[in-house]
Amino acid sequence: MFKDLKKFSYARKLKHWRDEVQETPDYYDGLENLHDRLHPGKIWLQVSDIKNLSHDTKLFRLVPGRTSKLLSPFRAGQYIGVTVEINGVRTTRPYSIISSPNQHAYYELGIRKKEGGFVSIHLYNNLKVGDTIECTEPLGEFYYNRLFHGKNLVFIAGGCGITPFISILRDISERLLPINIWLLFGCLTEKDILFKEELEDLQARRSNFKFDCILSEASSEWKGECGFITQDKIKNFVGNVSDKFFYVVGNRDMYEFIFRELENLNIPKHHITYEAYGTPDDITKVIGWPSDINRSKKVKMSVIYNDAGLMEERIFDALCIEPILNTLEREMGLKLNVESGCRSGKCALCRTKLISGKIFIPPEVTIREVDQKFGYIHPCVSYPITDVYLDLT
Amino acid sequence: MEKEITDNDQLPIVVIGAGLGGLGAGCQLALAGEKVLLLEKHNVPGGFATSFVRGRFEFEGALHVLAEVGDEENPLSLYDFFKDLGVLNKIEFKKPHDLYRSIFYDGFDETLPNDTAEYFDKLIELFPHEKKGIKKFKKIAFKVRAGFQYVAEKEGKASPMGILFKHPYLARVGGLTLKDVFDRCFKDQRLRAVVAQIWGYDGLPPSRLNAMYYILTLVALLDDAVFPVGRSHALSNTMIESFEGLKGKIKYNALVNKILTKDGKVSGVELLNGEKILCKAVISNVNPICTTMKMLPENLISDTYKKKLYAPDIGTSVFTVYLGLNASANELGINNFEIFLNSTDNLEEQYISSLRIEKPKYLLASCYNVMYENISPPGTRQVTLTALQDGKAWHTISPDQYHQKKDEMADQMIKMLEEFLSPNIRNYIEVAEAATPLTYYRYSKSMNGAIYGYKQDILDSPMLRLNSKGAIPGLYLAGAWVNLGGGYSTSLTSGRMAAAMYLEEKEQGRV
Repeated sequence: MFKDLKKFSYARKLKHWRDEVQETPDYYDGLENLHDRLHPGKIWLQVSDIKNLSHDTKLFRLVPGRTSKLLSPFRAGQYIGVTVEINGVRTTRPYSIISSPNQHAYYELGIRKKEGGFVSIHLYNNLKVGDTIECTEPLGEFYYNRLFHGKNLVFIAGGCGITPFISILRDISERLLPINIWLLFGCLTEKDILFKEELEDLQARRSNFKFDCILSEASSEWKGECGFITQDKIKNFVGNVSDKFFYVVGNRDMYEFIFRELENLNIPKHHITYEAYGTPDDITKVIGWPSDINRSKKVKMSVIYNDAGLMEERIFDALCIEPILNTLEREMGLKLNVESGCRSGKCALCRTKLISGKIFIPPEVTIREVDQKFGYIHPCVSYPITDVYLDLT
Repeated sequence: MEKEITDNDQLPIVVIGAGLGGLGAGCQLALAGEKVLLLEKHNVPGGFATSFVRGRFEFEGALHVLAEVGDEENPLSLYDFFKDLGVLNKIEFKKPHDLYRSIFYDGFDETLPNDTAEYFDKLIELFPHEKKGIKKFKKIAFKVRAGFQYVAEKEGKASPMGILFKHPYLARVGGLTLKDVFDRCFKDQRLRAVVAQIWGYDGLPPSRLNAMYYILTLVALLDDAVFPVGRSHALSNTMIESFEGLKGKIKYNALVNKILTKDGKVSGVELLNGEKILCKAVISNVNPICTTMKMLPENLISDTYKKKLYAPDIGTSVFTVYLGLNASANELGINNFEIFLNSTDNLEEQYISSLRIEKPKYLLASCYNVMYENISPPGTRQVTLTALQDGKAWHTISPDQYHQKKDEMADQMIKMLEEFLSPNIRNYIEVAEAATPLTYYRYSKSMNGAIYGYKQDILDSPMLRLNSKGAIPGLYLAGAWVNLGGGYSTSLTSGRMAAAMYLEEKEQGRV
């Protein structure tokens, strides 16, 4: 017994001795710099170049806005959230990075002048070379995951949804990865085919890449495929579908269509990955939307928030068919202190407490089980269907 | 934003960080009727005690099993605390059927029950030639546990001599490694490996680990290991709800940049956005190194204290792969909650491999559905692979190599699972996400992503570890880095100890 106790007092002595003999340390944190490079949080980027990609889409090249800062590496397929201030409304939208992840000098984004769009139109029309914009670090889970995606990939892109695929294709091609890719690209008309030359060039140079374009509103001169991306077209193009992994990027209508087609082809759920849905163009058409609520219905939105240390309360009208976050951004302007990134309910940056009231969320959105119980919501995809009371402190 | 400083503006106490230590401290203070402000940099409470969503899966972030709750008949150290907070009414706890399943490279594959008597019977059944030693180990373990409970009941006021006379074993194991204790009980290498199987819960192999940590972990988990329905995210959110019910206030997205001082004492905190909050005392759930070296003005810290902070080694972090599988249990062959895979009997070797970014030799595969069926949607499974990984190994990774290294390591871990248990698992993966030591660092700012704080070796046994007393008057420390070491229940307790220390000093008029 005493031998054991001696060991303990020896340990104690040793500890004191160790504390005494070592030199006075300075602050040292071994992971801090790696962390700051990979997860800088907010970044400032400056537009260095602009190029027209098509009649309604521009390419913006962004370089570090503060000269000494380096850009963080990203995975091909990820996006950055671009924050803008338009007439006192501060808001963020995600844009996929087009440029290759193998260089870190710049990020390139493709921005389409979307009809009825708020941020896209603003960026398309007003963003000039030399402007500095606030962005999030690269985010998102849509990328080639070598752990289980395998070596045979089918990419299905609709319109602007081609952007993350361009980055993934560049990455795979530059690194000569032994991965076979079939790309089905659905567009409206000939002039909407983004990166046509690059894709054709890639197809000519690489035996592992096949590309086909399907137009839904083709002119009479178009010699290629027409219509939608149906199961027959998929099957004809890729052959055996059972050993392949499917990537889908497009809008909500396209997702619904493609997922039905893939289901008919017996593709299991775990062989499909897709980019976030984004907010629906028309929430009333989403499955589950309460039919008694029409598109002009308004509710009262009350918020309690912190204004430079003081608790303030405000009440304003909100449209049922508009995401809560959009209403907040418009009504609260720069006083709003809610972060956002994906605008699809995935990144959880905007998690907010709903004190009372009922909301509708699109069926594809998953939020934490317990958050639902405690009233935490993702306001970027939550629609107020009764009067709501939010805690923004 | 500088405001006139008046006493009215000054809060009695601010807790930095809503991790387990901060939650423990905040709730304990709120229960004592204190007006507390809890500041959290993230937008969710809990620190590691949280969950995240990928696709249709919600993954448990860190918890395997929680100890020290008990029930009405056998209340353990957290029971009354949870009861007072109303946690017990709001959360259902599930009990795993087995403590763990052990699989070795040579085909040895045994499941150890969760019941104390059955556990030791099983060991005797497996290693009949070591019967005497197993009984001896059991005796030592329970004597240590009794001593620990005695100290806990005395609330830190037990005299060293009292402990020594009543519970000599507690004092004795304080200076011993787990290997020292094993040397007195077992000869069989495999038996040692099986008994020490959950060494990952303490982060060091028997040759380096202080025996007290391991014995307390093992005994605390036997019979009493539980898992909260709703994952640990439910636990932290329920605690926050109770905390707010007790007039506590929590502020999210509030990263504290500096601890403000006046005349060498704590006078407030400054947030990253420049906002200043005045207070008389601070309990910091941030690791002690960062709290002291980064948040306090440098001239206030004595060299002796700095040395104390840096002298102990920083403990291990982990590498975790979260898998959402579109398959049922039978297809996968994973029918236990905690399955340990060992490619060697030599635990020292297992540890050495955790210092490098390479295929692990010790891997834990946890299938939560076994204990808690609806943790993932019907027809799916949630499996987490955990390997210890020293954060230091990631210091030298270049940023552009990071994702590649992360994928390589995750790939190696899945390979190990394929070899030992589930050869077809990749065919069923629907979602895969990995967390490196950097990921743990990102969300906790814990040095090196350490999950248990300082290494739990002999020089940092519970009796010699830093305690809640901070570098300057009015500053207290909470969390895994101080007091009892890493783990869910110990971190909560560590926060409660910090709160108790504050309350006592306040009563004495020292704060």
